[in-house]
Amino acid sequence: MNTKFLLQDLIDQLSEQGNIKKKDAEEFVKAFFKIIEDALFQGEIVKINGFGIFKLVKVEPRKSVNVSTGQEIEIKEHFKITFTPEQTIKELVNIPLSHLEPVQLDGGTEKDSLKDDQSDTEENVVIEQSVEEYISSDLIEEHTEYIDPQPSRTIKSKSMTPNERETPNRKDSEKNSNTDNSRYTDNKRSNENIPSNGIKKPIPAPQRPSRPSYQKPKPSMGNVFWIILLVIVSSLGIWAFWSNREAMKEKQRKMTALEQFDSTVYEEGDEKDFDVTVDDSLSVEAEIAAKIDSISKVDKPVKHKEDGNVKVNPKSTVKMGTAKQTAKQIAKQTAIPKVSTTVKRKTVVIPNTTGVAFPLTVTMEKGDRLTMLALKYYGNKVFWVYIYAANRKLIPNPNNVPLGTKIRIPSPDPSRTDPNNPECIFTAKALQTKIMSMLEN
Amino acid sequence: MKNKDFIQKIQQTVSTNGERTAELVEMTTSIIAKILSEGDSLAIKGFGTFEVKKKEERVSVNPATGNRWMIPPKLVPGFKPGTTMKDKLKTYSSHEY
Repeated sequence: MNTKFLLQDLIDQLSEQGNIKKKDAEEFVKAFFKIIEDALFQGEIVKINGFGIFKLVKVEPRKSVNVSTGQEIEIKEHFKITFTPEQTIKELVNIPLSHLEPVQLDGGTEKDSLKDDQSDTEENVVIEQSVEEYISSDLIEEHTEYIDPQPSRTIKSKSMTPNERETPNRKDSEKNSNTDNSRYTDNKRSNENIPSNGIKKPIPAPQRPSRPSYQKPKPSMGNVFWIILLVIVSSLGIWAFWSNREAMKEKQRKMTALEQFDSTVYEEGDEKDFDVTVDDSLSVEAEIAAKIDSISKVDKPVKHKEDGNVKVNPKSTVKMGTAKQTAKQIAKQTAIPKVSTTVKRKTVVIPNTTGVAFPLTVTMEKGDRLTMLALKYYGNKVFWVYIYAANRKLIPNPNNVPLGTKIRIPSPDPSRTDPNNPECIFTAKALQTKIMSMLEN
Repeated sequence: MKNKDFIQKIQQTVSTNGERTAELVEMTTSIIAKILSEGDSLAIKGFGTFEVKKKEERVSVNPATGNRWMIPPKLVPGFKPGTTMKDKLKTYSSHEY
């Protein structure tokens, strides 16, 4: 890498490969470049197959300022040489980064779905969208909150046991949310018992400030809806994991906005007790939000969620039956890819170069830094973000970890902390940027 | 000047037959390509430098649909003319106008 070869190296290699004398090779190579040059100065375009095109391009005169004197000067019209490499060469050079592909950001999704709105599956799409947004923000949340992806997955899939790698201090909160969640499920199950007439009732579409839309449901579209939803949710899951920090920031903004919105809903609920029909839609929103909250374990007082559940009066619950089903089904669907990843993570045997049993606990000593620990245990400094994520409660500031802090180092995960995989590094870097911006605020 | 003309010109300067010249040209370009693909640069005195540049990741917007795409970073081959070449370019433009 970064070796600077000279003309002589080219000549040597050519004489070796072409099996010709060095003198001939030199003559040839010199002629090669001389002819390109001559042809260029005759105003010609030189095209060499398998290499590229050399061209002289006219640069129009432009005004500029002399940096030292501040005087205005005019840069005269002149020519410059451009080299446009052929596609084959471009691909050859880009091999180290060729696995990266353009990713569509969330900004586009909205437009897409808005377009879909005009189609006849209107109401499905609308519900889909709103839930989709919640879910995607949920995914992002998980993605960014690398702390303990397992517990949230566990809760979602309901069949999984709490992960052993769980830190003790988090277990309490998990229990809370678990009970909360179970209560919630009961509540929901009772709603599910209400037959399909629940579907026929108009579903108050979740009211988002940006998109006011109410539609009538069409039960016949149910199956199609679920299939579409499954596809969308799974694809969302994939891109959400690889979306860049910009997307995360935006999602975060959305999340905070959502949280604010939620809290206002709860406050309103305290006074009005969810009687009005408009409140129905709000409560649906609250329902879904609360559901997702409990799933993704947003650090919100548990009380709030309970309030949200209790306050829903029977009338609105009937109406909300379908919406709840939506939320539940989606939760299930999203759980599918996650379960698989968890399984994957468990089955993969991690090659441990240092021969240390993970997860291990390290006491911070003088001179220790998170990045150095990451380098030592994971092979790349940038993976400090995962160490930080696992110890977030202990570390208020990752730049300055108090001496003697006992830090838990989670097991290296080949799907995340592979120092040889540029994607892992890319993700970790995005995460790092996010953490940094969070700390600044 | 097409590839054919280029080979013909080289053939005139260097006394080899057509096929052999084409072969050598291909070999030369493949050597340069190999050097570039390993991330190295090749400086040709009096001509310029072939090198690899990294283009940073960016967000691009499709103006028609408004979709935002994240374009990943990539490596691109590039060419920088050398000093003698630059000087020639200067005199060239003053010659013409």
